[in-house]
Amino acid sequence: MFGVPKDELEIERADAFLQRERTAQRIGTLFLLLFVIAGAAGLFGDGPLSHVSNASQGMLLEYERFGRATDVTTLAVTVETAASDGNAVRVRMPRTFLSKVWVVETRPQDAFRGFEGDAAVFQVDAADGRARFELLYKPNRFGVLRAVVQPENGTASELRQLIFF
Amino acid sequence: MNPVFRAVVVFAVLWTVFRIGGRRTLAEITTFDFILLLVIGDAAQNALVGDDFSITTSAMVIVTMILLELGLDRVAMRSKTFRRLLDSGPVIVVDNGKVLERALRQEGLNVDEVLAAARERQGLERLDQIKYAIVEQHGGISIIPKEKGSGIDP
Repeated sequence: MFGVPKDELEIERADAFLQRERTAQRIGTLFLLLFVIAGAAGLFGDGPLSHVSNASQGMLLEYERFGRATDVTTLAVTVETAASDGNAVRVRMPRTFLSKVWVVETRPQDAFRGFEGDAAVFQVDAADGRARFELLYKPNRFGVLRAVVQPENGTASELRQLIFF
Repeated sequence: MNPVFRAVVVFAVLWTVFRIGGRRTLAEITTFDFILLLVIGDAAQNALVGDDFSITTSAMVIVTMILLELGLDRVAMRSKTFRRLLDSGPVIVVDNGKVLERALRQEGLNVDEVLAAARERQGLERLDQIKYAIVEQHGGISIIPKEKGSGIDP
């Protein structure tokens, strides 16, 4: 009589596929890690790589280079002025920029003074040779957001933001 | 953004991240894993509906995700390759009492987990009592014990 070996396990072995899967998982894990590092660094907004200070003659724009749609971001405009304290300083930006965002708040609250033609006008009183206002807004679309900010007596400066969804 | 598009994108992101992360079943997750899943669900909910809490949007999101899941299942039924892509395949991690270290490591498991499954499912006490331990497609561990007196039948 001859011995009979026990039955082998009936299982689908797909070793080549499993190896490819492992490689894909390792590459995928690396991408996830890079994604998190990019987020922490501010490549999707709110981080060291995202903050921009754009200085032109007499004006400083501070904003986030990268932003997210429906997340609040801040544009701070500081104008150097020879005007006396309490005198108004006006800044214009394109009306089309405001049509692409939801304005959450302006600081000071009465900084926004309305539209003149195709420009939105902001007006702030000077103090200690400077006039500053902040615009808090939520972009309402993805892509590149651009605006040329023009102080009444000074050089214009451009805001450029990449908005993610 | 359109809720249907949001649902598709979030579904794709969740599927990709969990596929990369490997497989574990509800039976094997820890308390912390469970809490993490709840947090992920909450984060995904914000991305899905945003500020829109209407019933219509919720219905669109739910139906879209269910249809995506059903669609993937249907395709997987018809295609072996797609099925493997979706769910991977079973992997033997113990063969006749011998631990296949590389396979075990690649599945993100350790020997203790295999032994725990052996105790729970078969009442086994030692590794050498295990004929096969297999990580199944769904992430659970199947234990096939060695038969008593196993060997060549006369």
